[in-house]
Amino acid sequence: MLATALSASIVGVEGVPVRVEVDVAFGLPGLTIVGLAGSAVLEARERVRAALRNSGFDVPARRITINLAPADLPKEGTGHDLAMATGILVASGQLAASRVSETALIGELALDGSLRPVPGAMALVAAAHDAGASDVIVPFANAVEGAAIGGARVRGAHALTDVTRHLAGVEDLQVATRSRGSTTADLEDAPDLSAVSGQVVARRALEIAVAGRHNIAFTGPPGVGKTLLAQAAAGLLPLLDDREAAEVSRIHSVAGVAGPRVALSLRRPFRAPHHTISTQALVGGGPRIRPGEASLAHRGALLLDETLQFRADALDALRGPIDSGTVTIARVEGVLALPARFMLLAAFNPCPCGWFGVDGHACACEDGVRRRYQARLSGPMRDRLDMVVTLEPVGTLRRARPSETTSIVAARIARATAVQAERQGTVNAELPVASLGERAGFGSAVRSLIDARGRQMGLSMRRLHRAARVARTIADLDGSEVVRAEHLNEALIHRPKDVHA
Amino acid sequence: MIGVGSAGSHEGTRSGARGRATERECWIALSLVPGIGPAAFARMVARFGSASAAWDAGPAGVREIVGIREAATLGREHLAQTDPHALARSVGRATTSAGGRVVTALDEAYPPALLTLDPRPPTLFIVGDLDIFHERAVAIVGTRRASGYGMSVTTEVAEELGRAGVVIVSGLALGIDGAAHRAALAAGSPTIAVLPSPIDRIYPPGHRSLARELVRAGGALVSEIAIGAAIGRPDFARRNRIIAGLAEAVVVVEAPDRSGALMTAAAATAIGRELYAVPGPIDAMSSRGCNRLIADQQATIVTSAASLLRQIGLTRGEQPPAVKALSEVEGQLLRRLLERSGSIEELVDRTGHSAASVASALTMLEARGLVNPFGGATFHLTLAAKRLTNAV
Repeated sequence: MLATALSASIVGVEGVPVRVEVDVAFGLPGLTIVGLAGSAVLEARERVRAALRNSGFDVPARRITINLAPADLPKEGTGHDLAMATGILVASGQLAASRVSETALIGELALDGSLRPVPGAMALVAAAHDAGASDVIVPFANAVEGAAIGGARVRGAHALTDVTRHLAGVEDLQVATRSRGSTTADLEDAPDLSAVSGQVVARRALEIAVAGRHNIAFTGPPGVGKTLLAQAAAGLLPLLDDREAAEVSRIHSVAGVAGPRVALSLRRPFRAPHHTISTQALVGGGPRIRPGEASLAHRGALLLDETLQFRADALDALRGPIDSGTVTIARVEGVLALPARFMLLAAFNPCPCGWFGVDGHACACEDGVRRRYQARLSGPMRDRLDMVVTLEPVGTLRRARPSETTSIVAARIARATAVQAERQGTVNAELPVASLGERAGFGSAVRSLIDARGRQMGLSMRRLHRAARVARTIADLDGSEVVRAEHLNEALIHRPKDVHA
Repeated sequence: MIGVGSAGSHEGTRSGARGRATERECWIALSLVPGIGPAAFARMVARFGSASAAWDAGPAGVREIVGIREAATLGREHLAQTDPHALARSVGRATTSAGGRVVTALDEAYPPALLTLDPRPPTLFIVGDLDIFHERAVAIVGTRRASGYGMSVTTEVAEELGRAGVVIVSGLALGIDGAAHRAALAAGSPTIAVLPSPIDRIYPPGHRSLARELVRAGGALVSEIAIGAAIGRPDFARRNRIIAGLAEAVVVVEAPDRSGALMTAAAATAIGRELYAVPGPIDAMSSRGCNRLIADQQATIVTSAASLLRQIGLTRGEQPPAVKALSEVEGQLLRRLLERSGSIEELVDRTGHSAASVASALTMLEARGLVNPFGGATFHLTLAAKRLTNAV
């Protein structure tokens, strides 16, 4: 007899519906799984058999064939266990088929029949819902996360027997309620902006960068507060809207960094990988394609502290995502695009000793060493920075003004972000070149000023466009509909400059 | 043009070892022998009466002058086996194809300033205009790890000297040297770069385009090292001596302890060139060498570009028209920067204006060529701005 159950698999960061077809026929007893199953899927044979037996069911002594359709899609992971076990029960007549058709079944089976959580519950539930399932049963630990996406009724189950009782109509599983994670309490780990003393220019630059989601680099000698400033950006990022939150949570759910009980978080991701990270871990990839830090920072910020200590190939691999907002991974089986639209925060010393170019200090680095160090940030990467801010040691400043706190600055940023969303639906950093015209507040006077500055300062078109976007953000913070000369001029002071030789 | 074949004064004394080589060819060939520097070369020519006679004396002659040294051992074999005519011809061809020419101390084109050196570099390889060596020249040297202060002062001094019609001589190195060449070019004045490497292998490679620009603008590249010579490291000591030799005065702008620029300063003193040094703050490591030159009274202190011009006996050249119409904030910033260079942070602190308005005004000033951050955080006034603020 033939039975079908619906499950789902992860490809990249997206869920794909998978039909689990189970055929129980006369023949030599055995269990065969076909349909490009990976090793974890093949091992389901042993888990399913033991789980069925230990839950009080029979494993029919027949020839059991399980096909995972579409059969040409490589499948990984343990999330199909539950659908396979249920399919065997239906195909062998131990369970009625009625409710199975509208329910998707996701979860890994333990040998005793209990259900274990799987990564990517959000994407899996979404895929199952798109494939027509009105109900999705997931391991209890995944229920909150799975429900966060909305759409299907998500029910959490502790064990295989809970599932069979539900499917048989004996005792319904509870529908998990859709809830949101806290939005402010979890910001406590970010340093407050008021912890940065002085550096009014750098703090202003950070505010501009976060408000328009522009790429910014802080450079300067050791101990001036580059890292602290960059980390403070975490608390300045505005909250995600619902659509963005769903995107972000799905990626985090697939990567397993959300934690199984975390619901849809409205907090923007802030990722700060260590500089020893591999290229694959940074942009994603690996034998089982996993999202990298660039994708985990999607819709948020990626901080590369000690940027120049990162592997050169890892840094250069970020060029694609910075331009297109996606990481493209090409494989023999096809090309996969992972979302990765982040704002880049860089912080680095100007040379290995850290004192190059600081007035009054002698740099102790050999020329060659310093040049090689500076060359680690390649020209194309430098070109992709919107702002570079050089910090200097804070001496005894006459007007010691108390620094503004994160909450004050974050409120201004939130207002400026809302203005951008209202006007163009994206942040300024994502404004296409074609949109840098009259409708975005660039009048003819400021447009000709942009051209003039390009000539005066010898700037490439890319630099000018980036400066224009930053100027748009400065105008937004200023509450101005049009971009004026002073906005452009302020943006240009932070343009990346070529290292003077 | 001085051809490779132009006759020397000892054509009658050819012998079998050197075939049909002229005195000039022998001169070039002898100067290329590894282990024979300018001093040994001068002693050999003095001892034997001419370069061709010195060549004829062969390895024994070298031993007599140089003594038994490792490098000279190499040189002796060189002397015994090489045909000076062919060697001079091939070096001449290689130099010509690199766009340069071979200039010996026998030639009229030899830079007159170097004739007074003892010992003088026997053979030079020069790209560019040879007339430039008859102009008044001042050398500007300093550290490769220049601070914004050093870059700013260099630019100002070189620009003023350039406008006054002086040729700037420097070493094409990173930092101060590069800034000196660039400022001279900006002032429309030709400039001479003395290389520590052959003319076809510009050192540092990052300054290749600067070298090309410099030649295009009527300047010259000078090297004592022949194309294809077996050199390991760039020869800075000989380069520095030529820099000092080509100039009537040497200005050390910024030099920490043990800077290569101090070698040039020492060479300047040794060969009797005026030495000037730009002081820095006494707690600045980057100016320790300059401050010491001044404290030890080896160098005359430079307190402004104008005072340097006066001391050298020059008047200021024609100045471009000053920029007018500054906003109030811009004017304030210029006045503050005239007191002392500073970062945006300091300017915000000193003027009390917002970071936004100071940043915006600084871009205005930078676009009009009145301030320059030289890649760092500190903004410096340019020469144009100093003229403007003096006028105000």
